[in-house]
Amino acid sequence: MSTIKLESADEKVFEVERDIACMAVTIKNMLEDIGETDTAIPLPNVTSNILEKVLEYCKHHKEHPTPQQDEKKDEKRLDDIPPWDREFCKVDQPTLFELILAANYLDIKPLLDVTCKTVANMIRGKTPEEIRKIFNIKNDFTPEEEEQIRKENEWCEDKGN
Amino acid sequence: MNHTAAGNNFNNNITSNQIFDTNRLNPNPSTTTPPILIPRMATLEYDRTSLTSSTSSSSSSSPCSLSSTPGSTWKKAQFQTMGINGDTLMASCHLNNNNINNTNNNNNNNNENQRSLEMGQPFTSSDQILNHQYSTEAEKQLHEEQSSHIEQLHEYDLQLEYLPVEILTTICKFLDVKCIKCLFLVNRFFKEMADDEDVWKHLFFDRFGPKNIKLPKLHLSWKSFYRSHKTYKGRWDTIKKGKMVLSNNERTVTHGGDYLGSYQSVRGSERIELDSGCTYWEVYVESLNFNQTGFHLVIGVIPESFPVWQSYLTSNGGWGYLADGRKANNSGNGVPFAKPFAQGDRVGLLVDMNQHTLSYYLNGVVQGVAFKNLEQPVYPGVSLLTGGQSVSFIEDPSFPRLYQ
Repeated sequence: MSTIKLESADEKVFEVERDIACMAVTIKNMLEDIGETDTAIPLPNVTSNILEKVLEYCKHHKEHPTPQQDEKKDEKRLDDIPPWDREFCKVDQPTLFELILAANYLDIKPLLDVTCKTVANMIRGKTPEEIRKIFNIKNDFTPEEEEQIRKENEWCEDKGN
Repeated sequence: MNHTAAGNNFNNNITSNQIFDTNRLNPNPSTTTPPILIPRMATLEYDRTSLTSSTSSSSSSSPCSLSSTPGSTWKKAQFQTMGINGDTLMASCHLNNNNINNTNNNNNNNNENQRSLEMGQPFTSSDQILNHQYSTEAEKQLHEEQSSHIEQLHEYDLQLEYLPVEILTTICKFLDVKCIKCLFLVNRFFKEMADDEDVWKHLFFDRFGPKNIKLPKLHLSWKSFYRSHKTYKGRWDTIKKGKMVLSNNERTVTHGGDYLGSYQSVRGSERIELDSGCTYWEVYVESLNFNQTGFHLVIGVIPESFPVWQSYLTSNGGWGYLADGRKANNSGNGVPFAKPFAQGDRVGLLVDMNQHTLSYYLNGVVQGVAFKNLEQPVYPGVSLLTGGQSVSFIEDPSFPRLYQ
């Protein structure tokens, strides 16, 4: 099994199986561009702790491949997260967001989906006030603006929505 | 420097000192650049050239700094994400890019644009503004007005904001309309995020159907198009009802006569205007009294001019679906259209004022477009023939998918 080296932003080098690293489309493309190399591939946007998590994700999913999603499933709302992924995403917010950025940069769609879903789940079913609390943010609307938005929001409240 | 805790966390992989040290080298940014909108968000670079050279560039510059790769798809993400006025943003975006190029030329003999960009020149001015101690409240206010966009950016202590707009859109795509509407009320940033066209386009297709629908010219945005799909909020009109009896909060109408062959019609209380998008409602057939022959019960729409008193829906300019499965417009006869309906059935009507059509649904199953000539405002209408016949508006029906 051939391995390659990845170098994180803080200059730690990870040796990983090529197949696992290639779950990241970005790395796959890089390897295709540069061919065989012994040099560590620099990933200047990913710190070692995040890269470690990402590789853990890739390794798990390489060993436990999820069944191919058919077209029809793609159509429906994808808010169901497999148990292992759910546990994997139980991290603090900064880590979660860094994982999202890393998944995006490395182009690992399943990881991007599952992390984005996790954020969506943090929002789903919450009141605006609860959302503010979760993300530690302030309400910067004036009461008039808030009233205005409330008014604009009063449409199409049918069951189908 | 004056980082928030969240900012620091985020900048873990960013040599923030370097970035902000650069700011210090430029003590008076306002003379060289207009107030710059600071994207406090990292855009991750994917620069193949630095890879093919295959050396670790980490020693010479900040390898993991914020970067703006010219021509990269990230540009949009980088500048549009902030929850501020989009126009200002785009304008600032251009300024910002110019600025980047200038600084490159000025202080960089190094040919690698990328590297100089990594130094983070675009990140000027804002921290100074923040750190500035305002001597008077008035001055502060003035300043806040001038640089309100910058102030707002720093007011947020929110990690989510640092994510590129594509990612925020992806997150929103996992939410339904109810959640998105909730986001509108959280704060300005969330409102901007929830207002994204891609989000609404996605919501539209998810909710209403096939992807081959194009945004009609009439609608400026997918959001407004989405909003134009609504259920009818009216009841039966308490005056324009012939000899009919209303009950159940004007939702149910019953033929009040006790003899045969006297058509009575009723109209809805709210008019459906031209250019008002799509309106949907459902009528429940409470009682049909099947011992009649002929056009015993008609469900449809009628124009303003329709004489409700003792008249038959489709013979006075109205459009209707008959209980025996025919349809008719301005005619007593009608042509075969769909399945007959009976007592206990649910007839859905969809008036599309974008395309001036009326489509029917029977117990949730689409029966097709019945008419394509609704060129004037209409009301929901029903004609009943015999005493005891009765229909009701169904409360809060679910808007159907447009096509299956």
